[in-house]
Amino acid sequence: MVSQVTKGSLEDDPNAFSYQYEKALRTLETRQVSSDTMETIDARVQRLAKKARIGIQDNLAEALVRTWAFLKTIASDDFQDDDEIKLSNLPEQMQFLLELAAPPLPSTLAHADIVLSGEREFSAKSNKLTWKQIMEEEPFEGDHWEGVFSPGRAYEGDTSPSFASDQESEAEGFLSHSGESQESETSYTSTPAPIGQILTEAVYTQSEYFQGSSSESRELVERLRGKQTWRREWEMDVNWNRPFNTADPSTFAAAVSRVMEPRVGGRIQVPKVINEVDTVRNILLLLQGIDSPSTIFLVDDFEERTQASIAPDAPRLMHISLDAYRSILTEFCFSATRLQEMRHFIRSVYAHRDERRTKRAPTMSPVFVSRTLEAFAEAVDAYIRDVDKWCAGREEAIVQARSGTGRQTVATLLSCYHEMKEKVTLALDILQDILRQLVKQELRKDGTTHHRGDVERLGFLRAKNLSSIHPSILSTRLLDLLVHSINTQLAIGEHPTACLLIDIFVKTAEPIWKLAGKWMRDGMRVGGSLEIDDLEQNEQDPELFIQFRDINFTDPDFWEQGYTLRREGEDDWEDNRTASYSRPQLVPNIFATIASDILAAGKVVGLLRAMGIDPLSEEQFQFSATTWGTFSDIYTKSQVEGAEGLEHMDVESPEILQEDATYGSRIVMGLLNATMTEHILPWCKSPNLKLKKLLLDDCDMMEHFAAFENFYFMRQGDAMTAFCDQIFFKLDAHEKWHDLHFLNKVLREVSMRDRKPWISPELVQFQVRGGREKNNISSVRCFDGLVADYTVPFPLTYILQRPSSAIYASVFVLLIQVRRAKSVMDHLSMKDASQVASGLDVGDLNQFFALKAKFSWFINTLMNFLTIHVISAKTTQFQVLFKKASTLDEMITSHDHHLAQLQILCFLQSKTAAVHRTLLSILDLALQFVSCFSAYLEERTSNGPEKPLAADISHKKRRHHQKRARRNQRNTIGFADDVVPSDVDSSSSDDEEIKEEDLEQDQTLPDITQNRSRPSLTSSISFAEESFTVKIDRVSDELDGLVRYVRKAVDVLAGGSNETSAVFGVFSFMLEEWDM
Amino acid sequence: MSSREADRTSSAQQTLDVLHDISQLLNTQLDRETLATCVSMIESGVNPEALATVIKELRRENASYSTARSPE
Repeated sequence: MVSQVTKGSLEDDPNAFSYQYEKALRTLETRQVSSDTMETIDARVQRLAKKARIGIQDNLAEALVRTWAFLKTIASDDFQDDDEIKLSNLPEQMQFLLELAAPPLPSTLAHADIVLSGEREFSAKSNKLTWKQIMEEEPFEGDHWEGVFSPGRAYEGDTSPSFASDQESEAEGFLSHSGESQESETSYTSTPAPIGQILTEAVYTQSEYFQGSSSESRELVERLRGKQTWRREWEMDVNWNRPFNTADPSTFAAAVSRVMEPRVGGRIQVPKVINEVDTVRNILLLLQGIDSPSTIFLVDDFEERTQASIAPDAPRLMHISLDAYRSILTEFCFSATRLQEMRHFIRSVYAHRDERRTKRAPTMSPVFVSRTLEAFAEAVDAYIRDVDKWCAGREEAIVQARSGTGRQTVATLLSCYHEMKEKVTLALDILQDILRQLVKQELRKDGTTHHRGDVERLGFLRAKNLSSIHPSILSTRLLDLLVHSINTQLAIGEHPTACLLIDIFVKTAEPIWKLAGKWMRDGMRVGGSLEIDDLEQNEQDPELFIQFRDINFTDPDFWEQGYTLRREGEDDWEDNRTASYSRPQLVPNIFATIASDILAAGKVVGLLRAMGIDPLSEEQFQFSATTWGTFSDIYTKSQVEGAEGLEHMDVESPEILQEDATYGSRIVMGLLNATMTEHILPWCKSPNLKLKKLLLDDCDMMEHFAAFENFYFMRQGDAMTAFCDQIFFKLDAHEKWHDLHFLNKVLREVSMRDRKPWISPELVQFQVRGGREKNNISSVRCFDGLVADYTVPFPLTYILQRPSSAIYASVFVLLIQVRRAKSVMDHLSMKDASQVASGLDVGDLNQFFALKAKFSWFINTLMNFLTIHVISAKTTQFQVLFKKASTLDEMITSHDHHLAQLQILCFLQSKTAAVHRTLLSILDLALQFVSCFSAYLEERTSNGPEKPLAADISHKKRRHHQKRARRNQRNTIGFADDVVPSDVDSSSSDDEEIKEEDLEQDQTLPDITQNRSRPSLTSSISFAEESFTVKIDRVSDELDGLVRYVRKAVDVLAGGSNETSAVFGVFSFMLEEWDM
Repeated sequence: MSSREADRTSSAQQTLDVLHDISQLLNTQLDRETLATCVSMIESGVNPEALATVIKELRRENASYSTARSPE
C-alpha cells in the first residue's frame, strides 16, 4: 500500500521506505476510532450533494447520490457473508473515501458525466422489459419474476436509484413539520404506487406520447409526474389519519376534520394534501391570473373570468383547519379578483384604442377616447406586469431554494399575505377607487336616480363606462384624483404606495404635457396659417385644457374669447361662443399655475405664425420637437433639485429625514410646479419679445395710441378746437352738423393744420345715432349719438378695437359737450351784455354778471379737471405702464385698466350716471342762460328797452317772494336740500370772472367770432309771463342746486379707498370754491 | 471456476467499480489498484479513518521528498 501510494518513489531509498512503512503501521495500530454508521454516511453523502448543487454542479451531485444509492442496492442484493466486500463494511469503505475527499476538479465533473451516462446504460440494460410487456404475460411467468417474492425484498425489484430521498431533501427546508421530512429524507427505499393504477393512467392518458419510447423515458416521466402536486399521482409522504399530537402540527387539520367535517358513508374522507410551499406557489399563480389546483377564476356578468374563487377540490394543508384555510384563501382571492378586474379594464382600454385607430368614432354620439386614460391604463398595466414579475420571481426563488441552487427563503401563506398586501392590495384599492370616483362623478352629473346598471358600472370597470366623459374632464379629474391620493399616502406615511402612485401619475400626465408642448410649439390655429388639409389635424385637442370657440380671428374679441381655458360645463360640440367666467376652470391642479402662461404663449405663437414670423427661430432659443421633453424629465429634474435641497437640509436637521421617509417625496411634489414653470419660461419669453417688437416697429402701435389720444381726448389742442368750432358753428346756424361728409371734411381740414399730420383722417369713421335731438341747439345732449371709430391695422385691433374701446368715444362726446357749453358761454358778447345792462338796475346787473361768471367758473373747472387731472395724468401713467408690458395680454390688461379708470373719472360708469346727467343738466342750463339772454336782447332790439324794464320793475317784489318760496322747495334735487346759495359770495367774485371772460373772449377764432355776436338760441323763450330778471334768478338758483349736488356726489366718490378716489378728491377740492 | 464463484467475482468487481466511481467523484486521487488494496485492508479490520490519515501522511511525505530531490 505504501509503495502504491508513494508510487515507488521511496524504493530507491530503503531507509525512507522502511521509515514510512513503520510509521504507517504504528498509525494503523494505535488509532482506534469508532467508525460511522450507514445513516451517518447517508447524511454525509447528502450534504456533499447539496454542497455540489449549491456550487451549480448538479451532475456531480446527481452522480454521487445515484452511485451511492446503486452501491447500497447491489450490496443488499448480492453481498453474502463470505463475500470479499461485506455489506456491514460498506459504511467503513465510504467513510474511508469521504475522509480522503477533496474539492472537485474539472476531471471530477467529467467523470460525473461519464458515471451518469454509464448508469443510464446500466439502467437501460437491466430494464429491458417494460411494465406493459410484463402485464401482457401470464401472471408470475418468466425469468423476471424470479426472486421477486424473496423475503425482505418484496418491492425492491426496481434497480434504478430512488429519487425519493433527493426529492425530500429538496423539500426539507420548506416544510414546517421538519421532523417528518427528516425522517423521510433518510429512508432510501421508495414505496412505489400500486402498479395497476400507474399503468392504467399512464397508458390511457399518454399512450401516444409513450408510443415507441423507451421504458426509461416513461419511468422518467412517471417520476416527474409523481413530483407534480397538481396531478393525481401526487401523494403526500405523511399519513393523513394520524392521531392528534400537540408536538406535531401536521396532525392538526386531520384532527379538526375528524371532529367537524361530516363523514361520507361512515368513513373519514382523506383529502388531497400538499405542502404549504406548494400552496404558496398556487397563490402566486392565482395572483398572476392563472388557475391553480387551489383556486380558479369564475365567469362574471360580462362573461369574463375575473372572479377568483377557491377550487371545489382544493388540496388541503395538514397544519391548518379547513375553515382557516378557506378564510386565508378568500383573502388572496379578493386581491386576485381586483388584479384580474384591472387586467380586464386595461384590456378594454386597449381594445377601445385599437378601435379608434382602425375607424373614426361616430361624430353624432359623444364617444370619447382619452389618451390620459390610455396612459393611465398603460401605467397600471406596467404595475400589474411588475406584480406578475414579482410573483414569478418569488416562485423562481422558491424553486431554486428547493433545488438547493438558490438562497434560503421563507414561503408561508402568512409571509406571502404580508408581501402581497404591501405590493398589491393598497395600491390596487386606490387605483380602483379612483376609477370608481370618475364613474360616480359622471353618474352624479346624469341625475340622482340610479338603477342596477349604474351599480354594475361601478362594480365592473370597463373603458366604455368612461367613454361618455369628455376627455378634458376625464383627464382633469384623473390627474387631480391621483395627486390627491399621492398627497394622502404621503401624509399617512405610506411611502411605497405613494412612490408607486407617483410613478403612475407621471406616466398618466405625459399626454397632457405633450399636448401642452405641441400647443406652445405650434400655437393657436389662426385662419390662413394652415392649409385646409392640415386644419383637421390641427383642430384643438379636446383633451387639453384649452378650448377653442368659433370666432373669426379678425374679430377683436378673438384674442380674448377665441381660445380660453376650459371651464366646467362647456363642451366642444355645443355652440359656446362666449366663455362663462362664472364657472370654475377645468384645468388639472398640477397645471393650474402655468395654464394661463401656456395659453398665452400658444396664442402669441399662433399669431406670429399667422403673420409669417417664426416665433422660435432666435439663436438663443434652439428649440426643436425633442427639447420639450417628457413629464418624466420634469419630475426627474424636480427630484434632482429636491435631492440638492435635502443634502443641504441633511446637515442642518438629519433627524427629519430619518424619521420621515416621505419627506423627500413631498419636497419633490412641491417642487414640481416650480420646475414646470421654469421649463416653460423660455418658451413664453421668445415669442412675446418678437410680438412686442412687431407691434412697436411694424404696426406703429405708439403712433396709433398718440392719434387716439390726440383725437378722442382732444390733446391736439388747436386742431381739435377748430374741429369743434366748425361743428358748433354749423349747429348755431341751424344746419345739419351731423352730416358725415361734413364731419369727414372738417377732420381732414384740421388734420392738415400742422406740418406733420397728427392723424390719418381716413382711419376715422363717424357715425351719428339717434335722429330727433340732433338739431336741438339748446342742449348738449344733441352730441350723444356721435360715434367716431378709429380703424387700426391687425393685430392692433386686439388692443384698440375691443369693446372697452367704446370708452374713447364716450369721453370724446363728453369733451365736445363741455366744449360746446364753454364755447357758447365764452362767445356771449360783452357789447350785447352792456346793451342789456342799460335797461337794468344795478342789482339786477350784478346778478346777471354773477351768474355768467358762475357758469364760466364751473365749466372751466370741469374742463380743467377732465383734461388735466384725468386725461393728462392718467394717460401719462398709462404710457409708463404700457411700456413695461412684455406680453400682448399685459398690454391689453393695462389698456383696459386705463380705460376703466377714465370711465370712472369721467362719470361714465353706470354707478355715476346721475352725476353725469347732472353735469349735462348744468351744461344745458348754461345754454338756456345764453338763449334767455339772446331772446331778451332780440326783444329789446325790436321793442325798445323801456317796456321790458318796466315789466321787470313791476315784478320785482313778486320775484323776491317767488325766490324765497323756491328756496324752501329746493329739496327736490337730490341731497342738496341743505344748501343755501350765497348771493354775497357770488357777487364777490364777479370782478375776477369778468376779467377771465375778457381774456377767453380774445382767444376765440377770428373766422367765426363775428357770427358769434348773436347766438341764435332764441327760439321759444318768451318774457310775457316771467321777466328776464326773474328768469335769471331762477336759473341761478337751479345752477346752485345742481352744482351742490355734483359736489356732494364727488365728495362721496373721493371718500373711497380705491385708486380713483384721490383724483375725485382733487375735483372735490376744486368745487369747494363754489361757496367762496 | 464454478458459476457461483464467477458470479461472486463479478459481483465483487462490480462493487469495486462502483466504489472506484465514488472515489473518483469524491476526488480522492486513488487509483483502482490502491483502492482495491485499501478496500481489502478495511475488510481486514483496519480502521478507515486511520488508513485515510496514513495515506494523507504518505502523500505529504512523498511530496516533500520529491521536492527535496528535484534540485539534484
